[in-house]
Amino acid sequence: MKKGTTLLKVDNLKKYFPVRAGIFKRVVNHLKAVDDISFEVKYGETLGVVGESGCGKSTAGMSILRLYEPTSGRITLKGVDTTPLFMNFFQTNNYIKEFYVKRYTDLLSELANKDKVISSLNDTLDEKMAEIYFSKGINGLKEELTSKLQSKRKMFRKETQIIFQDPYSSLNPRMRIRNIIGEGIKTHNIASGKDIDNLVADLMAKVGLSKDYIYRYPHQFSGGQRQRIGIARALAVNPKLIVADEAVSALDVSVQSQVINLLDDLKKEFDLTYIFIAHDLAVIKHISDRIAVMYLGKIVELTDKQSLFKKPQHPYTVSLMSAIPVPDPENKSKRIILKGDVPSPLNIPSGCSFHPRCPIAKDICKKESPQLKEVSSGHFSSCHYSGEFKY
Amino acid sequence: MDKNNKLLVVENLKTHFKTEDGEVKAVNGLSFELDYGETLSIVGESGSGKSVTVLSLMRLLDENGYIADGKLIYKGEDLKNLPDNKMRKIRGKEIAMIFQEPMTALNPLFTIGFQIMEPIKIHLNKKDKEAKQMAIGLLKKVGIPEPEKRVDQYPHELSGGMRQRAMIAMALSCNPKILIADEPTTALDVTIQAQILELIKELQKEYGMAVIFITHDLGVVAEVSDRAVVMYGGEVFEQGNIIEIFKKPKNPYTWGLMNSIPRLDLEKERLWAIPGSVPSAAKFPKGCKFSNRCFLKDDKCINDHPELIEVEKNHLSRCFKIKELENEIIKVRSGDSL
Repeated sequence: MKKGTTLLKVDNLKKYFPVRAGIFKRVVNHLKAVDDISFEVKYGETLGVVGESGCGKSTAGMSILRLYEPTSGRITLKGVDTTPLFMNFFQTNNYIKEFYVKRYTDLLSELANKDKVISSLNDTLDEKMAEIYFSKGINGLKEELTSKLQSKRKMFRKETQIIFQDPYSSLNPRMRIRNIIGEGIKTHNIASGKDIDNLVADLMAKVGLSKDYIYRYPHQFSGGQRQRIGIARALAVNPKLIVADEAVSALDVSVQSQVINLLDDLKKEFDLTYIFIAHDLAVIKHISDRIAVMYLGKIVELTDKQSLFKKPQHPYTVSLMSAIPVPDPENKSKRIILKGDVPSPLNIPSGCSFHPRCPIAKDICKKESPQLKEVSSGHFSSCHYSGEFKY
Repeated sequence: MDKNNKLLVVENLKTHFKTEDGEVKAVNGLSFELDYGETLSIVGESGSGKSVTVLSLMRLLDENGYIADGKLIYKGEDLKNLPDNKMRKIRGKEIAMIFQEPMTALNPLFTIGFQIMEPIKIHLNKKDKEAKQMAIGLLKKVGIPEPEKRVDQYPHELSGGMRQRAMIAMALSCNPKILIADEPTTALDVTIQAQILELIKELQKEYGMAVIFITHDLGVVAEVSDRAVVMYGGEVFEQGNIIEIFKKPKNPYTWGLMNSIPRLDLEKERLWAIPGSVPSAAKFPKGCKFSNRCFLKDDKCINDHPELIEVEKNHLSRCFKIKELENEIIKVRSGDSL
């Protein structure tokens, strides 16, 4: 596949966790961990997702990989709708009705012409699905989405992989390194028997581990080495997309830079695409091509690295940048100190969720929730006063 | 300089631990001084012995740990030989400490008010009512809203940032001369970290106390401290004024650390990486402890143990290769500007 084409597309992704209480465990509230986010990731790029704890950045990554089943939204990989892959019968029906049928029938009643509906859609996948719907009905859509489900699932798992934050809890202590790295190779029939050993040894060399360690157990390695094992495991099945969820935050400073450099090298060698989730803006800046800033389940700013750091638009982004201490004792610029804590995602403030901490909040911010708008080419920000707050 | 005028003088501190694998020398001949009202940072990665240093100072080591040698002179008195009852009068009153993880450092079974009142009642002999008023005043001072309500709440009812503020209130309750902050912001989000750092700086100005800041974050070091001690393998590798250390590092370890962090204010194509990782305490090489990871090492570094020497006035470093490092820095920095 060519660089610059879309690899992953996320539309209106939501993940709500039910909060249960009382003796019947009734659902009393929803924790809106991810609340309506949309973005694209192109082949060969690194999208950095940054935000404070509780902003939903990890949940977003896990939902994309379907380690959590999303509440709603669509996840498209290589132009194929992968949303229903891990749903049950009822969820699939519901999804098709909610996401496709409802939209198409609404558009149809508005435009009154099937061809007009199809041409009004600005997404090739949507056009294709609309054509199927208008010619074959709901069952046609269902057939399209759920035929050969097993092989599609397997394909999805092969093309997307994850690297976890904590290299201590993400490796099975009872498995040898050969089996940890080789499990995916075996499952996906990439190799068998002795060839697995050779492949594993190659991978270990690639991530900077001696292949003599192939029969060791995880506890015999240091934190940085374990993270390398996690990376080798993710690489083993030749994925296209790797979600790195705080992959370097548990490591010491000197080891952190080794792993960042390694991820950089592997990206070039294997033509990888990363979604790099981290809370450290400096790390995100170093590794990403484009950056999404999240706050309380929403993307508040999304753009390429250069324009984010040159012209940050959202007051939260500006405050976040200024809050990070710069390792230069002579550069003591004035910091913007945000008031208060990040509110609980169970109790999200009205209007713009950032307004209680925002240095430039006005009346409208308390009432109206701002939409993510394109303020300049490719630069999105969700603020009523984008670009007005500087430091 | 007259050592009697210093607030705290640590001389040749050696802290050892008895383990199944034998004696582990966690801190091995550490010396530093602390002036009234100054901020000293102790910098190092995990396993460098920075936390053990301050635990020795507070005499809070685990049972298998002991101070093997050295002096800990606080206001002319050696804390090492102080009887327990006298040490108790210093701990919390003269030298107070805040910890990294406020959830585990606070007792979940008692209200934060009770925990803040405890040192006030013990050290200042105040009665309940007065102590509570002081606790409310302290909570207000550290920026906790509605202190009258918060004083009766339990730690789990507070957010991470609030808990850290409550800990600071507790540490300040008896107006200590030294505040030891052991990674106080590592567990916090950056916007909260900025709040807490600002708070500590303000309170330091107001109370005139000295602060020992333990951290691995060089950004925090540059932000808060006057002087820094860089530790590796239980030894001081570099010590000096903060601007000197950042502008003219005299130790390859410091230089490596500074180069390996991604920067918001600079554009770097590739990060510098120190090879390998910090060995466990019993497995450091026998010559220079950094020799297995150093890019300037030669046979001398592998075989001989370098001493801490004064390279420039008040700027100390433990390295055989200071000249080579200086040349390297000039080379790299001139490359930056091109």
